[in-house]
Amino acid sequence: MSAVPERLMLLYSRLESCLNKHISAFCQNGFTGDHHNHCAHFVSHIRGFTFGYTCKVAGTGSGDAASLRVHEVFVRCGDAGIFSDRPDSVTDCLAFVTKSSAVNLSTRTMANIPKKHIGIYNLGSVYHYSNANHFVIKQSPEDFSHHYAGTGFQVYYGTFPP
Amino acid sequence: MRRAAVRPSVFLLLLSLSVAASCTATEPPTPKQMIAALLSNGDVPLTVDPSCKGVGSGPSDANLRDYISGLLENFLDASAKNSIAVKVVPVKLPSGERRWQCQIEFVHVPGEDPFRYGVSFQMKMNGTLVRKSVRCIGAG
Repeated sequence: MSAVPERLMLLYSRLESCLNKHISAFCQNGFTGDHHNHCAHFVSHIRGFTFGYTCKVAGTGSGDAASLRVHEVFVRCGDAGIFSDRPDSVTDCLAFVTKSSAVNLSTRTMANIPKKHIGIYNLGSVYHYSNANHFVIKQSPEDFSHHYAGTGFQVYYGTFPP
Repeated sequence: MRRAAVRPSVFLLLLSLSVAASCTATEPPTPKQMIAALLSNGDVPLTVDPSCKGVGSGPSDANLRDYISGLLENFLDASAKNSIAVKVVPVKLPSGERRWQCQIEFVHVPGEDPFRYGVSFQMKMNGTLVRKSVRCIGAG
């Protein structure tokens, strides 16, 4: 059995340390109300995404910026596709779940629809912010795929934006 | 004698209240007035600010009318929690001009993930929406 690359172990440790934490543990911009959606917000604070609409603009502007919108993250992924079809080289990545009708892989775009969610995949688990529980959880990709009830949903991978 | 001494005090009190009333800031716009201002500026393009880029529910959405229509379309899902949240606060520009900073959010919660998008903008004291002040707000 080959050793797990150090990069993945570092990310694993970072993500494990986030479990059960409220968004206020990551955001110093005051954009931490439980009535907001924090899935992209959490991911962006962990990965340092500062593009598009951020918590620095939406909040007090006193801390580090973090992107807030799922579709703005998706469009900046270096590569993206169906999660189950991801190349072996993609060992850690972003995981998205949304209506397949909202995604155009050829243009790498995602419509701004209500039912879309994002997490970080690493070492067999998807870490994401549960807006119902108001803290970070981890799930198997299979469980993550059932984030929304109903039909027409698909899980996508996206390599981390630069 | 004592009653006579009180009368000037009462007069002064009423006078000061009257002056204070005349200095009271203009009443803020009502939610209906804010929504009306937003609807009447539906032709503001989504290029008005980077916060509005790609914010529509479809790739062809080009202006506020398209954007807001998409947000209201979500309300067709009657099983979700749907509401409109409105906020207004006074602001003073560096020039000294006073305006109203308005915010309208179309809150749609179809499950555990809230979808709370909308628009913020400034209104002049005469009720005019300042088109260049439009920002598209929301996360998720």
